[in-house]
Amino acid sequence: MSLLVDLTTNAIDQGYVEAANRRATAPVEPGTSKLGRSRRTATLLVAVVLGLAGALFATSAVATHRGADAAKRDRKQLIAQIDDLTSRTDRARQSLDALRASVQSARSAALNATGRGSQLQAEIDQLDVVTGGRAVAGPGLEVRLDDADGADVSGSLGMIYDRDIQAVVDALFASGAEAIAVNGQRLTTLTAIREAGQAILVDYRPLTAPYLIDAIGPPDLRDRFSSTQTASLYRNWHQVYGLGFRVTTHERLTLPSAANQVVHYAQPLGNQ
Amino acid sequence: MIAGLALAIGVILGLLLHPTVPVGLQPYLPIAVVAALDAVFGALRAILDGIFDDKVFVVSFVANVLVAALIVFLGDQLGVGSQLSTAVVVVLGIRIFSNAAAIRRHLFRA
Repeated sequence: MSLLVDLTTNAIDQGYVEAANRRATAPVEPGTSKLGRSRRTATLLVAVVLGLAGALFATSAVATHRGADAAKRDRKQLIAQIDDLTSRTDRARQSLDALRASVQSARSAALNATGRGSQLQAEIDQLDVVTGGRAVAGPGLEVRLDDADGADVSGSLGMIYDRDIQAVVDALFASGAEAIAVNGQRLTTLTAIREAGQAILVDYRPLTAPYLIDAIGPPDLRDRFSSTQTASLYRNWHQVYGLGFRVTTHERLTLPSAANQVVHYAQPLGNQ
Repeated sequence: MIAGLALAIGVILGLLLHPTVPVGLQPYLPIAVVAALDAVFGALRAILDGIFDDKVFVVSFVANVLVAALIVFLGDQLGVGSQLSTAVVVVLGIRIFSNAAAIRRHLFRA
Protein backbone atom coordinates (compact mmCIF):
# COMPACT_ATOMS: atom_id res chain seq x y z
CA MET A 1 0.00 0.00 0.00
CA SER A 2 2.46 2.64 -1.17
CA LEU A 3 -0.33 5.24 -1.26
CA LEU A 4 -1.05 4.86 2.45
CA VAL A 5 2.64 4.79 3.35
CA ASP A 6 3.21 7.90 1.24
CA LEU A 7 0.22 9.61 2.86
CA THR A 8 1.43 8.99 6.38
CA THR A 9 5.15 9.60 5.92
CA ASN A 10 4.74 12.70 3.75
CA ALA A 11 1.72 14.04 5.53
CA ILE A 12 3.20 17.51 5.59
CA ASP A 13 2.56 19.45 2.44
CA GLN A 14 5.63 19.09 0.18
CA GLY A 15 5.32 22.81 -0.52
CA TYR A 16 6.52 23.65 2.97
CA VAL A 17 9.54 21.37 2.62
CA GLU A 18 10.47 22.78 -0.76
CA ALA A 19 10.00 26.36 0.39
CA ALA A 20 12.22 25.62 3.38
CA ASN A 21 14.88 24.14 1.08
CA ARG A 22 14.69 27.17 -1.20
CA ARG A 23 15.04 29.47 1.78
CA ALA A 24 18.06 27.53 2.92
CA THR A 25 19.80 27.86 -0.44
CA ALA A 26 18.74 31.44 -1.23
CA PRO A 27 17.85 33.34 1.89
CA VAL A 28 15.28 36.07 1.36
CA GLU A 29 16.02 39.55 2.47
CA PRO A 30 14.77 40.18 5.96
CA GLY A 31 11.55 42.18 6.05
CA THR A 32 10.10 40.63 2.90
CA SER A 33 8.29 37.38 2.41
CA LYS A 34 7.82 34.86 -0.33
CA LEU A 35 4.77 36.76 -1.49
CA GLY A 36 7.08 39.53 -2.48
CA ARG A 37 5.39 42.01 -0.21
CA SER A 38 6.08 43.20 3.24
CA ARG A 39 5.85 40.81 6.22
CA ARG A 40 2.79 42.67 7.42
CA THR A 41 0.81 42.10 4.22
CA ALA A 42 1.71 38.43 4.27
CA THR A 43 0.54 38.08 7.87
CA LEU A 44 -2.67 39.88 6.97
CA LEU A 45 -3.23 37.50 4.06
CA VAL A 46 -2.69 34.48 6.30
CA ALA A 47 -5.08 36.01 8.83
CA VAL A 48 -7.72 36.60 6.15
CA VAL A 49 -7.44 33.01 4.90
CA LEU A 50 -7.66 31.67 8.46
CA GLY A 51 -10.68 33.91 9.06
CA LEU A 52 -12.25 32.43 5.94
CA ALA A 53 -11.49 28.94 7.25
CA GLY A 54 -13.14 29.76 10.58
CA ALA A 55 -16.20 31.17 8.82
CA LEU A 56 -16.34 28.02 6.69
CA PHE A 57 -16.27 25.76 9.76
CA ALA A 58 -18.92 27.82 11.54
CA THR A 59 -21.15 27.95 8.46
CA SER A 60 -20.92 24.22 8.01
CA ALA A 61 -21.69 23.56 11.67
CA VAL A 62 -24.63 25.96 11.64
CA ALA A 63 -25.98 24.46 8.41
CA THR A 64 -25.77 20.94 9.88
CA HIS A 65 -27.58 21.88 13.06
CA ARG A 66 -30.17 23.88 11.20
CA GLY A 67 -30.85 20.88 8.97
CA ALA A 68 -31.35 18.65 11.99
CA ASP A 69 -33.68 21.21 13.59
CA ALA A 70 -35.68 21.53 10.38
CA ALA A 71 -36.08 17.75 10.19
CA LYS A 72 -37.28 17.66 13.81
CA ARG A 73 -39.73 20.48 13.12
CA ASP A 74 -41.05 18.76 10.00
CA ARG A 75 -41.57 15.56 11.95
CA LYS A 76 -43.49 17.39 14.67
CA GLN A 77 -45.64 19.11 12.07
CA LEU A 78 -46.42 15.82 10.36
CA ILE A 79 -47.38 14.20 13.67
CA ALA A 80 -49.63 17.16 14.47
CA GLN A 81 -51.21 16.86 11.01
CA ILE A 82 -51.83 13.15 11.52
CA ASP A 83 -53.42 13.76 14.92
CA ASP A 84 -55.56 16.56 13.52
CA LEU A 85 -56.75 14.54 10.53
CA THR A 86 -57.42 11.45 12.67
CA SER A 87 -59.59 13.44 15.07
CA ARG A 88 -61.39 15.00 12.09
CA THR A 89 -62.04 11.51 10.73
CA ASP A 90 -63.36 10.48 14.14
CA ARG A 91 -65.76 13.44 14.21
CA ALA A 92 -66.92 12.73 10.67
CA ARG A 93 -67.39 9.09 11.66
CA GLN A 94 -69.54 10.11 14.61
CA SER A 95 -71.77 12.34 12.53
CA LEU A 96 -71.97 9.57 9.91
CA ASP A 97 -73.13 7.14 12.58
CA ALA A 98 -75.74 9.61 13.83
CA LEU A 99 -77.00 10.34 10.31
CA ARG A 100 -77.13 6.64 9.48
CA ALA A 101 -79.11 5.93 12.64
CA SER A 102 -81.64 8.63 11.78
CA VAL A 103 -81.92 7.29 8.21
CA GLN A 104 -82.48 3.79 9.57
CA SER A 105 -85.14 4.89 12.05
CA ALA A 106 -86.90 7.00 9.40
CA ARG A 107 -86.79 4.05 7.00
CA SER A 108 -88.12 1.57 9.53
CA ALA A 109 -90.89 4.03 10.52
CA ALA A 110 -91.88 4.36 6.86
CA LEU A 111 -91.65 0.60 6.22
CA ASN A 112 -93.48 -0.48 9.34
CA ALA A 113 -96.53 1.52 8.23
CA THR A 114 -97.46 -1.28 5.80
CA GLY A 115 -97.54 -5.07 6.14
CA ARG A 116 -95.26 -5.64 3.16
CA GLY A 117 -92.98 -2.94 4.50
CA SER A 118 -92.50 -4.60 7.88
CA GLN A 119 -91.57 -7.81 6.05
CA LEU A 120 -88.90 -5.87 4.16
CA GLN A 121 -87.73 -4.27 7.39
CA ALA A 122 -87.17 -7.70 8.92
CA GLU A 123 -85.20 -8.71 5.84
CA ILE A 124 -83.09 -5.53 6.01
CA ASP A 125 -82.36 -6.12 9.71
CA GLN A 126 -81.16 -9.62 8.88
CA LEU A 127 -78.94 -8.38 6.02
CA ASP A 128 -77.53 -5.49 8.05
CA VAL A 129 -76.09 -7.96 10.53
CA VAL A 130 -74.18 -9.75 7.78
CA THR A 131 -73.05 -6.66 5.86
CA GLY A 132 -71.94 -4.76 8.95
CA GLY A 133 -74.58 -2.11 8.39
CA ARG A 134 -75.54 -1.92 12.05
CA ALA A 135 -74.10 -2.57 15.46
CA VAL A 136 -74.65 -6.10 16.70
CA ALA A 137 -74.38 -7.94 20.02
CA GLY A 138 -74.04 -11.57 20.90
CA PRO A 139 -71.88 -14.25 22.51
CA GLY A 140 -68.41 -14.70 21.13
CA LEU A 141 -64.65 -14.75 21.41
CA GLU A 142 -61.92 -12.20 21.88
CA VAL A 143 -58.58 -13.10 20.32
CA ARG A 144 -55.78 -10.94 21.58
CA LEU A 145 -52.66 -10.68 19.41
CA ASP A 146 -49.65 -8.76 20.66
CA ASP A 147 -46.02 -8.20 19.76
CA ALA A 148 -43.53 -10.19 21.81
CA ASP A 149 -41.72 -8.20 24.52
CA GLY A 150 -38.88 -6.19 23.03
CA ALA A 151 -39.84 -7.02 19.46
CA ASP A 152 -39.81 -3.52 18.05
CA VAL A 153 -37.44 -4.14 15.17
CA SER A 154 -39.04 -4.45 11.78
CA GLY A 155 -38.58 -7.97 10.44
CA SER A 156 -38.42 -9.39 13.96
CA LEU A 157 -40.09 -12.78 14.40
CA GLY A 158 -42.01 -11.62 17.46
CA MET A 159 -43.87 -8.86 15.60
CA ILE A 160 -47.53 -9.00 14.58
CA TYR A 161 -48.02 -8.17 10.92
CA ASP A 162 -51.08 -7.60 8.77
CA ARG A 163 -50.99 -11.22 7.60
CA ASP A 164 -51.30 -12.44 11.22
CA ILE A 165 -54.52 -10.50 11.68
CA GLN A 166 -55.72 -11.69 8.27
CA ALA A 167 -55.02 -15.32 9.19
CA VAL A 168 -56.85 -15.10 12.53
CA VAL A 169 -59.83 -13.30 10.95
CA ASP A 170 -60.01 -15.91 8.18
CA ALA A 171 -59.87 -18.74 10.72
CA LEU A 172 -62.63 -17.10 12.80
CA PHE A 173 -64.89 -16.69 9.79
CA ALA A 174 -64.15 -20.27 8.76
CA SER A 175 -65.11 -21.40 12.29
CA GLY A 176 -68.52 -19.83 11.93
CA ALA A 177 -68.12 -16.25 13.17
CA GLU A 178 -70.90 -13.99 11.97
CA ALA A 179 -69.47 -10.57 12.80
CA ILE A 180 -65.87 -9.56 13.51
CA ALA A 181 -64.25 -6.32 14.63
CA VAL A 182 -60.53 -5.57 15.00
CA ASN A 183 -59.77 -2.96 17.68
CA GLY A 184 -63.33 -1.69 17.29
CA GLN A 185 -63.24 -1.56 13.48
CA ARG A 186 -66.05 -3.73 12.17
CA LEU A 187 -65.11 -5.85 9.18
CA THR A 188 -67.20 -6.13 6.05
CA THR A 189 -66.53 -8.17 2.95
CA LEU A 190 -64.74 -5.12 1.54
CA THR A 191 -62.62 -4.21 4.57
CA ALA A 192 -58.89 -4.18 3.87
CA ILE A 193 -56.41 -5.43 6.46
CA ARG A 194 -53.05 -4.31 5.26
CA GLU A 195 -49.75 -2.81 6.24
CA ALA A 196 -48.38 0.61 5.27
CA GLY A 197 -44.90 1.38 6.50
CA GLN A 198 -44.84 -0.29 9.89
CA ALA A 199 -48.46 0.40 10.75
CA ILE A 200 -51.30 -2.07 10.38
CA LEU A 201 -54.32 -0.51 8.73
CA VAL A 202 -57.79 -1.94 9.13
CA ASP A 203 -60.33 -0.13 7.00
CA TYR A 204 -57.51 2.39 6.30
CA ARG A 205 -57.22 3.33 9.97
CA PRO A 206 -53.85 2.76 11.63
CA LEU A 207 -54.02 0.46 14.67
CA THR A 208 -51.52 -0.13 17.44
CA ALA A 209 -50.79 -3.27 19.43
CA PRO A 210 -52.37 -5.09 21.18
CA TYR A 211 -54.81 -6.17 18.50
CA LEU A 212 -58.17 -7.30 19.88
CA ILE A 213 -60.18 -9.34 17.42
CA ASP A 214 -63.78 -9.68 18.60
CA ALA A 215 -65.95 -12.29 16.90
CA ILE A 216 -69.60 -13.11 17.47
CA GLY A 217 -70.58 -16.65 16.59
CA PRO A 218 -72.10 -19.96 17.67
CA PRO A 219 -71.44 -21.45 21.13
CA ASP A 220 -68.89 -23.89 19.71
CA LEU A 221 -66.94 -21.05 18.02
CA ARG A 222 -64.14 -21.37 20.53
CA ASP A 223 -63.71 -25.13 20.03
CA ARG A 224 -63.88 -24.81 16.28
CA PHE A 225 -61.41 -21.93 16.22
CA SER A 226 -59.02 -23.69 18.60
CA SER A 227 -58.93 -26.76 16.37
CA THR A 228 -57.93 -24.75 13.28
CA GLN A 229 -54.40 -24.94 11.95
CA THR A 230 -54.04 -21.18 12.42
CA ALA A 231 -54.82 -21.37 16.13
CA SER A 232 -52.35 -24.21 16.73
CA LEU A 233 -49.70 -22.29 14.75
CA TYR A 234 -50.14 -19.20 16.92
CA ARG A 235 -50.18 -21.26 20.12
CA ASN A 236 -46.85 -22.67 18.96
CA TRP A 237 -45.42 -19.21 18.13
CA HIS A 238 -46.64 -17.96 21.50
CA GLN A 239 -44.37 -20.54 23.12
CA VAL A 240 -41.43 -20.20 20.73
CA TYR A 241 -41.27 -16.44 20.09
CA GLY A 242 -43.28 -15.07 23.01
CA LEU A 243 -45.89 -13.72 20.61
CA GLY A 244 -48.99 -12.56 22.47
CA PHE A 245 -51.92 -14.89 21.67
CA ARG A 246 -54.86 -15.31 24.02
CA VAL A 247 -58.43 -16.40 23.42
CA THR A 248 -61.18 -15.46 25.88
CA THR A 249 -64.86 -16.32 25.71
CA HIS A 250 -67.43 -13.58 26.27
CA GLU A 251 -71.09 -13.99 27.14
CA ARG A 252 -71.96 -10.83 25.30
CA LEU A 253 -69.90 -8.80 22.86
CA THR A 254 -71.04 -5.58 21.19
CA LEU A 255 -69.61 -4.74 17.79
CA PRO A 256 -70.12 -1.34 16.13
CA SER A 257 -71.37 -0.87 12.61
CA ALA A 258 -68.82 -0.64 9.84
CA ALA A 259 -67.59 2.84 8.98
CA ASN A 260 -67.15 2.22 5.30
CA GLN A 261 -70.05 0.78 3.37
CA VAL A 262 -69.47 2.37 -0.01
CA VAL A 263 -69.95 0.08 -2.99
CA HIS A 264 -68.38 1.31 -6.20
CA TYR A 265 -69.27 -1.17 -8.92
CA ALA A 266 -72.08 -3.46 -7.84
CA GLN A 267 -75.56 -2.10 -8.70
CA PRO A 268 -78.74 -3.39 -7.08
CA LEU A 269 -81.02 -5.17 -9.55
CA GLY A 270 -84.13 -3.16 -10.40
CA ASN A 271 -87.22 -3.60 -8.20
CA GLN A 272 -88.95 -6.76 -9.25
CA MET B 1 -1.29 34.64 17.91
CA ILE B 2 -2.77 36.76 15.14
CA ALA B 3 -3.57 33.58 13.24
CA GLY B 4 -5.50 32.08 16.15
CA LEU B 5 -7.33 35.36 16.65
CA ALA B 6 -8.26 35.49 12.97
CA LEU B 7 -9.57 31.93 13.14
CA ALA B 8 -11.66 32.77 16.20
CA ILE B 9 -13.00 35.93 14.56
CA GLY B 10 -13.93 33.90 11.48
CA VAL B 11 -15.82 31.35 13.61
CA ILE B 12 -17.64 34.12 15.49
CA LEU B 13 -18.56 35.90 12.25
CA GLY B 14 -19.83 32.66 10.78
CA LEU B 15 -21.94 31.98 13.88
CA LEU B 16 -23.30 35.51 14.07
CA LEU B 17 -23.99 36.23 10.42
CA HIS B 18 -25.46 32.81 9.51
CA PRO B 19 -24.30 33.05 5.93
CA THR B 20 -26.59 30.95 3.76
CA VAL B 21 -24.81 28.61 1.40
CA PRO B 22 -26.37 28.57 -2.08
CA VAL B 23 -28.17 25.29 -2.67
CA GLY B 24 -25.94 24.46 -5.63
CA LEU B 25 -22.81 24.72 -3.46
CA GLN B 26 -24.14 22.80 -0.47
CA PRO B 27 -22.85 19.37 -1.57
CA TYR B 28 -19.32 20.81 -1.66
CA LEU B 29 -19.43 22.37 1.81
CA PRO B 30 -18.39 19.22 3.75
CA ILE B 31 -15.54 18.57 1.32
CA ALA B 32 -14.40 22.20 1.53
CA VAL B 33 -14.47 21.94 5.33
CA VAL B 34 -12.31 18.80 5.34
CA ALA B 35 -9.87 20.37 2.87
CA ALA B 36 -9.66 23.53 4.98
CA LEU B 37 -9.08 21.45 8.13
CA ASP B 38 -6.27 19.65 6.31
CA ALA B 39 -4.64 22.93 5.31
CA VAL B 40 -4.94 24.34 8.84
CA PHE B 41 -3.46 21.22 10.46
CA GLY B 42 -0.70 21.16 7.84
CA ALA B 43 0.13 24.78 8.63
CA LEU B 44 0.17 24.09 12.37
CA ARG B 45 2.57 21.23 11.88
CA ALA B 46 4.76 23.34 9.56
CA ILE B 47 4.93 26.05 12.23
CA LEU B 48 6.05 23.48 14.81
CA ASP B 49 8.52 22.01 12.31
CA GLY B 50 9.84 25.53 11.82
CA ILE B 51 9.29 25.53 8.08
CA PHE B 52 6.02 27.50 7.88
CA ASP B 53 5.73 29.60 4.78
CA ASP B 54 2.88 32.07 4.34
CA LYS B 55 2.79 31.80 0.57
CA VAL B 56 2.62 28.01 0.67
CA PHE B 57 -0.15 28.21 3.28
CA VAL B 58 -2.32 30.68 1.36
CA VAL B 59 -1.88 28.87 -1.93
CA SER B 60 -2.35 25.39 -0.45
CA PHE B 61 -5.48 26.43 1.44
CA VAL B 62 -7.21 28.00 -1.55
CA ALA B 63 -6.07 25.27 -3.92
CA ASN B 64 -7.02 22.44 -1.52
CA VAL B 65 -10.55 23.74 -1.07
CA LEU B 66 -11.05 24.43 -4.77
CA VAL B 67 -9.52 21.17 -5.99
CA ALA B 68 -11.50 19.09 -3.49
CA ALA B 69 -14.72 20.80 -4.58
CA LEU B 70 -13.74 20.39 -8.23
CA ILE B 71 -13.11 16.65 -7.81
CA VAL B 72 -16.51 16.20 -6.23
CA PHE B 73 -18.14 18.34 -8.93
CA LEU B 74 -16.48 16.22 -11.60
CA GLY B 75 -17.61 13.07 -9.81
CA ASP B 76 -21.17 14.40 -9.65
CA GLN B 77 -21.13 14.97 -13.39
CA LEU B 78 -19.80 11.45 -13.99
CA GLY B 79 -22.22 9.82 -11.53
CA VAL B 80 -19.60 8.85 -8.94
CA GLY B 81 -19.91 11.97 -6.79
CA SER B 82 -20.54 10.28 -3.45
CA GLN B 83 -17.76 7.73 -4.03
CA LEU B 84 -15.29 10.50 -4.90
CA SER B 85 -16.38 12.51 -1.85
CA THR B 86 -15.60 9.46 0.26
CA ALA B 87 -12.21 9.11 -1.42
CA VAL B 88 -11.37 12.77 -0.78
CA VAL B 89 -12.51 12.55 2.83
CA VAL B 90 -10.49 9.36 3.41
CA VAL B 91 -7.27 10.74 1.90
CA LEU B 92 -7.55 14.12 3.63
CA GLY B 93 -8.64 12.43 6.84
CA ILE B 94 -5.54 10.24 6.92
CA ARG B 95 -3.41 13.32 6.30
CA ILE B 96 -5.12 15.27 9.06
CA PHE B 97 -4.53 12.34 11.39
CA SER B 98 -0.85 11.98 10.66
CA ASN B 99 -0.35 15.75 10.89
CA ALA B 100 -2.17 15.74 14.21
CA ALA B 101 0.12 12.91 15.34
CA ALA B 102 3.18 14.96 14.32
CA ILE B 103 1.81 17.98 16.20
CA ARG B 104 1.27 15.77 19.24
CA ARG B 105 4.87 14.54 19.06
CA HIS B 106 6.06 18.15 18.92
CA LEU B 107 3.94 19.29 21.83
CA PHE B 108 4.22 16.35 24.20
CA ARG B 109 7.40 14.69 22.91
CA ALA B 110 5.50 11.43 22.94
